[in-house]
Amino acid sequence: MDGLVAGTVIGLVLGLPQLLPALRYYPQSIRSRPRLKERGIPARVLLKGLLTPRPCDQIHGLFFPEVCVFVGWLPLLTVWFAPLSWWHGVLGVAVLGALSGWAPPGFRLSARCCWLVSISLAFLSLHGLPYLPWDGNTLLLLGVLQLLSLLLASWTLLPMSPFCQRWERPSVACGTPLAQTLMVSAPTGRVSGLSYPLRTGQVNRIQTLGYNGGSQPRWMARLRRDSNPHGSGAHDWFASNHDGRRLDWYGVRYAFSYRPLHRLSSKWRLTDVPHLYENLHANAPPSWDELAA
Amino acid sequence: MGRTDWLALCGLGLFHLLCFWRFYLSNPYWYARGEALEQGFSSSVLLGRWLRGQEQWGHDPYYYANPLALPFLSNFYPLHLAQAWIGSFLTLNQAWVVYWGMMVLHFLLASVVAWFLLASYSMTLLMRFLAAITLSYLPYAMKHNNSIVYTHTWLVLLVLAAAAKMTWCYGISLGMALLAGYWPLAVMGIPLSWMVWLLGL
Repeated sequence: MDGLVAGTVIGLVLGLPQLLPALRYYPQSIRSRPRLKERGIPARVLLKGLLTPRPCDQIHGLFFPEVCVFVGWLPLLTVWFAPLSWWHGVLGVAVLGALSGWAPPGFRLSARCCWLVSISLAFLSLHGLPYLPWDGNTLLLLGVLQLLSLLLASWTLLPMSPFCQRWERPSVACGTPLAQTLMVSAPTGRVSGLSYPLRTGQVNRIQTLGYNGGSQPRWMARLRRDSNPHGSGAHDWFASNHDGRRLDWYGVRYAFSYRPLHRLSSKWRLTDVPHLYENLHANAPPSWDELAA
Repeated sequence: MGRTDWLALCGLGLFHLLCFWRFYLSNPYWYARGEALEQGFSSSVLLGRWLRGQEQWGHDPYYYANPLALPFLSNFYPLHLAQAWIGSFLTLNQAWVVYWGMMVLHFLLASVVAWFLLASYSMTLLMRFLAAITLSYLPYAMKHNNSIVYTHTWLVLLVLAAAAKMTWCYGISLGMALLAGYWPLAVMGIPLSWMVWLLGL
């Protein structure tokens, strides 16, 4: 027990550089707002997930890697030989959590329970291994089957085909004409609507409308009228908002949009880059601190 | 280290190579897509610039208003810092190789340490080998998100260190899991490790 306390203290001290700013920031993020009740993962998906790493394409907007409980084929066998232990209780709690839509307080997805399901299954199978009634050669064959199943799983899950983009060299992906134009022009303002893979603007030093995921600050969500408790994820202002002076004040100098913005307002001028518009009324971009204030 | 250990390490290395053969043997940019390229790698590029003093530490005028407060960016995780710093001296493509390489090497790290931590359990070598690989290459952790991979690695080692009642190993694993930053997994893994310490594996 002393060792556990000492180990936990060592770990917490090591983790302090991240713990302190994160805990201080948490009340300011939209994550601290009461969250919607999540829908659980259907039992058939969990059951199918024991046999295959891809039990469905997506469910409730989550792609298949999020609901993965696959641990290989051998554990499906060995887990039945595991003597009753507290790991069965952990597995039960994890399965109930995944089915019921429970998520740890302050966190978003009940699908994270799938990790607990996986890891408890893996440890239970470890308990069952010594009780398998087969000899060395059969065990070796089963072992090879297990390695094969994990290899197949890794190739299925990474990359998440077909639900992700084609591969590209980063220099090509981040060196498009759009990126090059904005690198030259955009230091004087923010850019709305940057799409994959330029969305964060960090590689090309392009200021964007900012992060709009589940850990965004409340003020940022308010600025964008983002009422989604998990963050809308929409980077094109015009996808969910109307044009207005707010963009001028936000310092949005450029907007990438498939809507014909130059027909909406004379302040938008179409540039030489297709779908890229320049805002002729944009103010100088305020800093994050100024926006927060 | 005995001959068995060396053989096991070769086996673990071979499995790792097979798992990510496209990255090592065919196309290092095969995984350069999706969330990995768009968010993880771009944040890592900015982190590299902070470390080199090219931009003010912790200041991201581009995307995240509070980057140091977001644990899933792994901005304080030493191995992530190391790869970002090395990558900052390289071209964008080379930096990607370092970034992705550091991420997938975590699977190998987990399996190697798990192999040694499992030594105290009465099981055959084959079982020990399979257990090390099954825990480390858990399919749930096969994601484009570097933070999930880092955190999973340290949580596996945390549980095994708890089982072996190795205080320092436990403390370091816990610290690294917190710095790695995928806390939705950590809030489940940490109580689990307490139970393992108290009740045994």
